[in-house]
Amino acid sequence: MRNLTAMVAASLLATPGLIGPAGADHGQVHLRTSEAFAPCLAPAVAAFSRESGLSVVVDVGDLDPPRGADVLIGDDSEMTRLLEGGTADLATSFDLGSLPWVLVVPAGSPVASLSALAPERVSVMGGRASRAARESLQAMPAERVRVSRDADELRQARYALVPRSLAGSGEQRPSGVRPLMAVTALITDAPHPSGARALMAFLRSDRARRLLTPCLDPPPTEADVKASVAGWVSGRAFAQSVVDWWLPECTLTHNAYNDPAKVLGPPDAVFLGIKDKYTGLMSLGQGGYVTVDMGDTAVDGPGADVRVYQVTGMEPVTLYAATSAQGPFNLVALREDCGTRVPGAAPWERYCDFNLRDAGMAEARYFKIEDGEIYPCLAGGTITEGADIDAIEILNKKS
Amino acid sequence: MPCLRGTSRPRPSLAILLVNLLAAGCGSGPSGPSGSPTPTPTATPPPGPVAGRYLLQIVPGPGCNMSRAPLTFPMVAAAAGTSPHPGVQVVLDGNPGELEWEFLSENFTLRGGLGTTGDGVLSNEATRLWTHVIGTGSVTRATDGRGEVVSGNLMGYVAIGGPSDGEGARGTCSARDHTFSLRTR
Repeated sequence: MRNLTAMVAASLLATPGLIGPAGADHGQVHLRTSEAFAPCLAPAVAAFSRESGLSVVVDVGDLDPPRGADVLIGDDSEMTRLLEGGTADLATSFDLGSLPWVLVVPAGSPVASLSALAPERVSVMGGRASRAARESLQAMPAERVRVSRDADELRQARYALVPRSLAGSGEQRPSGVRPLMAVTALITDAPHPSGARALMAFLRSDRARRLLTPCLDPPPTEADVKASVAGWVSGRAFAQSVVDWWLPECTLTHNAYNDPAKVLGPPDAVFLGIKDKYTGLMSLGQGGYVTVDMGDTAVDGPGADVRVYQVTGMEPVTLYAATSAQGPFNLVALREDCGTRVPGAAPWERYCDFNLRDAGMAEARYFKIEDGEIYPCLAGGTITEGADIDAIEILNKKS
Repeated sequence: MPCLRGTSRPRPSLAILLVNLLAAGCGSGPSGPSGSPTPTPTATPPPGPVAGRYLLQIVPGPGCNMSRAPLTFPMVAAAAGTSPHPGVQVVLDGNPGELEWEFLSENFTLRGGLGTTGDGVLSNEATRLWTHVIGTGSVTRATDGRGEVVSGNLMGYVAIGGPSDGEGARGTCSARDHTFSLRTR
């Protein structure tokens, strides 16, 4: 297969030997990250190297395969399969911060969408993490969209849709594209484990956060979390029974979490701290689904009406709704990224919200939740292929 | 009860077997017992199973601002499970993990997810395709009696590139109106 990766190896400071405990690692740690995050990490990595005496080799490119890395830092979408498959250790992962996508246009350009500005060409960062960004440009003719992973080329583009870290000298405007989320994790069986752990510990520190902050927007503070939790809808109603389900035979054979009843009730999935060991979830495999009766009726109200809880990463989910168990089921949203962090919950717990209005429905009681990752079962290397569903909740309940 | 000609298909479903048994008594087939010359209405036999070698053709939706030239792939199909619903697995001939379709198969309708890995898959036309779509199509009877889908719908993500390009280098399009066919070969 062609090599999509522009490998850039940067050895940042190499003065090993100043920190005793990491001596067994021969004073070197390999960090692999993607193009968007590399510029954000440089100050923190340099500080770690300076203070610890360990040299850090930063490789930039696709994270999968990790190519001998000890530590990975990538967007949710790049990390999901690595974490679920156990290549990276889920128990060690945490968020470093988010990175918005920005539109870059020549200073003074009229306020309008890129397609309305009709530039001769728009450059957009490529790779797995750029799917949503590329989709946002799909109204433009493909020949006017330049997909690139060359940071210099992206910075020089007059018109670009890039993570803020790769923006050039033009005027930056909000893009509406979901921000990237920098997630870090230790590689399972990392070649230089003690040095890697030292780097991870440093990245968790307030000092590192301060060094990252100019580039990454910080994760929510505890106060943010409390405020968010306080704002949650209190009349909680969760799926009560399974009406129908289907998993492909391949999924039934390879996946471990095939029990549809696990999506019932409130969120209760738990990662047991060992690769692939969970309780309380159903993995939907390649395009599988589960249809539930909520017992209550969801109505189209203020904000989102229905929430799906999904575990680990941001695997997409497709949702259909009906007023009768026999249907018809109307499409509410297609392949919605399901990776929003649940405030105050365990780091593996995620969710995505849906609005009945998007299906043209005033109310619904039955919901069909379908895998939107749609990754080939025969190529999957995990026992949790597909979206991993924990629970379904009505946010706006009929009174 | 319409009088149907019997079919001889590999792995026929129970419903088709029943139809065939009933049809055996109709008496108007060339090998049936001679009898009254009264013409009987002919009905199209139901499609056989979706199994064997196929050609998958994918056409990006009309709203996609990229090449909409059909992309074709040689596929192999086989029955895949019966519970909780019967399934059909359709995979790329020779490289099953590169392009895989897992269908739920009921009432002569196929519905399920078609996906590629992060490397995409090279079409017969030397275009690389990355896709994650849900497809639906009615199964009809092909000339050889097997089931096939002449025209189906795809909803989801399609990205294309040259053989050595990165994902989406020649266009990305998420839509609900991509189309496909899955024809016997």
